[in-house]
Amino acid sequence: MNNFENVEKKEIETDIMRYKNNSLSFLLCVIAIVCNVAMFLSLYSNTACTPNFQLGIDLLVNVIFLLSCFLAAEKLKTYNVSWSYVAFAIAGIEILRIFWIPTMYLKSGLEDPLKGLNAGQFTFIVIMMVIAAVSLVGAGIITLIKAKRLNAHLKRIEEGK
Amino acid sequence: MATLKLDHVKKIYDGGVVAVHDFDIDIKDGEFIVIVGPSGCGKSTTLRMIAGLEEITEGHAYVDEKEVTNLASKDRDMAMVFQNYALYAHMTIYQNMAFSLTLRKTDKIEIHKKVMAAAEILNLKDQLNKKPKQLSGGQRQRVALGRAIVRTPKIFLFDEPLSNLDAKLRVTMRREIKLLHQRLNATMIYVTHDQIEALTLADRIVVMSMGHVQQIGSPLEIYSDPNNKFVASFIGNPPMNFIDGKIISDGKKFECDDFSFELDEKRKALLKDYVGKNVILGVRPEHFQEGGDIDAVVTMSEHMGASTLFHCDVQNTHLNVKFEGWIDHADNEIIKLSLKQDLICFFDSETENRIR
Repeated sequence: MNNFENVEKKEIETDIMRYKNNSLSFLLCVIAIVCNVAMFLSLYSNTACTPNFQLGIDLLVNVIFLLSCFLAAEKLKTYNVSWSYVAFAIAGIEILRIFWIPTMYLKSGLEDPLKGLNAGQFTFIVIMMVIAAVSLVGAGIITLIKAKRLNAHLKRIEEGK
Repeated sequence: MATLKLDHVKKIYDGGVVAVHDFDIDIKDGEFIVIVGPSGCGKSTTLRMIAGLEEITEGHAYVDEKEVTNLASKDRDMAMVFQNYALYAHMTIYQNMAFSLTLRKTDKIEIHKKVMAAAEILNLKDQLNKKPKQLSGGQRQRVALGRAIVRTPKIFLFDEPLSNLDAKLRVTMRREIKLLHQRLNATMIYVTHDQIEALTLADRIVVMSMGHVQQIGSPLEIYSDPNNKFVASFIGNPPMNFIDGKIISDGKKFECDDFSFELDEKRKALLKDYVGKNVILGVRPEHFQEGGDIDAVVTMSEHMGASTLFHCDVQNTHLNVKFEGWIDHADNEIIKLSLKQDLICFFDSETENRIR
């Protein structure tokens, strides 16, 4: 394939974005949601829960996280640049949570196995949170790159009219 | 593009109902064939047999001289456009048009080129991101056409595609289909019960009734030279007038209950075997002229802009008479009529076949 064909192919691929959703970013956001749900279910199905302020905050943060992820998925699907920054922010929060939630419950587990996590559960939860964070960062980066290409293409079309 | 041959095709449903009798036609490459007839005459069944959606009970079908009688529908390389559009409501117009190619795992660059080319032809470029429910009926039908075009099939099949549209939109879409045919020069088979669509679109018309092919011919042949009373009555609006009568006076005159007229030399020769026998006179409303021996009483007038239609009674015989222009005749006024004998038809009263 010569250089001209390469350029033409790239042009067409960009043009296709006008009519197709950013399904890769959408998929990555969905993966983040699924991983977070898996993390959450694993955490509380293995931990004897005592209704307290800590549990309430945990639930609230998770609900907000899932909702934000869903909104980001929908917005990134339509190449919304602003929401890619939101995705980065959600990923940042998830990264912070990695250093807080699993270790906190691991400590409780060491004190009383019924109230915390064992090493295997700890690893699973960390992995899930890492995947969620990486997926969100990936979704944001992909959207930024694609949106930049698409906007430049649309500008060219507008100028060509 | 392709040729299509239907070799004595017959469709018999379970229970012995014969939907199509002995359909035999050779369709040339790039030809626009319209199958026309009243509801239940077997035209859609014929189309579905061509598409492979109905099994052919007897006979054979060939595309480009290759037999396709028992070939699965997906392998026949034909695209069908339906009356109800059959669009996927959850997909955008772009996705709807690209869908068949996506299923075939066509390269996405190729799909995009074809979809954009079809959208350009059908003036749908600004609608590609919309969902079908956001479009008008005409636009939806254009999408259905586009979906067929992107496949670049050998044969396009249309099953009453304009029946869901209002009268004005039909005229526009009819023109677009005609232009599309000229542009693609593809073989198209079009089923309709609308004789105007048949006359305006077709290279050749197939008139069907009760599962039988009544006549195959160009629009002009079908209109001016019908094979039988059915074809004569079905094609033409308002329909042909039919008057039962007899050939009398050694074949010199036609006489019915309410009037008679002298036959010209050509008609005398034509009807020489029918002297003293019953025949049916067929005369189109536009083939009357003012002035003559027939006294007709106007019972109602319909002004249609470029022409005027008069409903007249000649004693007990009702006639539709059409004159060019805006003509005023009061109700109950008597007008003198004669026939343009070159253009009238006679049918055998027993077989209802045209006397030639």
